[in-house]
Amino acid sequence: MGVQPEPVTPEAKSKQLLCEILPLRALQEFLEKDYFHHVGKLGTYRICRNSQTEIYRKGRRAASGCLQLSVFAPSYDRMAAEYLILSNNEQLYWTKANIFPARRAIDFRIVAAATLDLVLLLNLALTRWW
Amino acid sequence: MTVRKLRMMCAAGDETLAEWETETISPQRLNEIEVEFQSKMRQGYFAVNITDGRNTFISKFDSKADILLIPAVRGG
Repeated sequence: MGVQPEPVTPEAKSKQLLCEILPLRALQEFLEKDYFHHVGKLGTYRICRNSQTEIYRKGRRAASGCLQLSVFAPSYDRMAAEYLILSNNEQLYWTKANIFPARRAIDFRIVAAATLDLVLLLNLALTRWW
Repeated sequence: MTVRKLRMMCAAGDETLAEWETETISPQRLNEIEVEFQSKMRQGYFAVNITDGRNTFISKFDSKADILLIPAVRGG
């Protein structure tokens, strides 16, 4: 009696399709990390499976983009579609996707420097006072 | 012998709408595939020539290309 081959799931099929499409460098990154980067003219895009696409400019996260297929499809299909749109017509991506500017995160270096300044000021004031 | 496919992203991952041998396919069958391609384009699909990693958008049917159809997209 032969062993029945396991049915190929939609996720597995779409992952295979994405692997067919990606250039070697992005493919290696995707297989290691489940996300990959695409460098465009308007930014660098980190295309993730389970979260919005992160858009970086000058090394900083500037925004996130959310694009959906108009039909239900596995998430790897959405990743492939985003890559193909970005590599062919980046402007189209910006027209279609919802773009959310990144909130400026607290820079802990500035907070640390301000705290140090305050401590030094208090120290100076206390020294003079006593 | 070169086999080409017209594929479409869908809930099942992707679906092969047509598969043909470029040297032996009949003009009639090729016309049927082209009609299906044009129908999808009218529905807002994007067509990409994915032959050998080309990954370029196309607007006209190319019988010598592996073609992937991407459904219309919108902001999420």
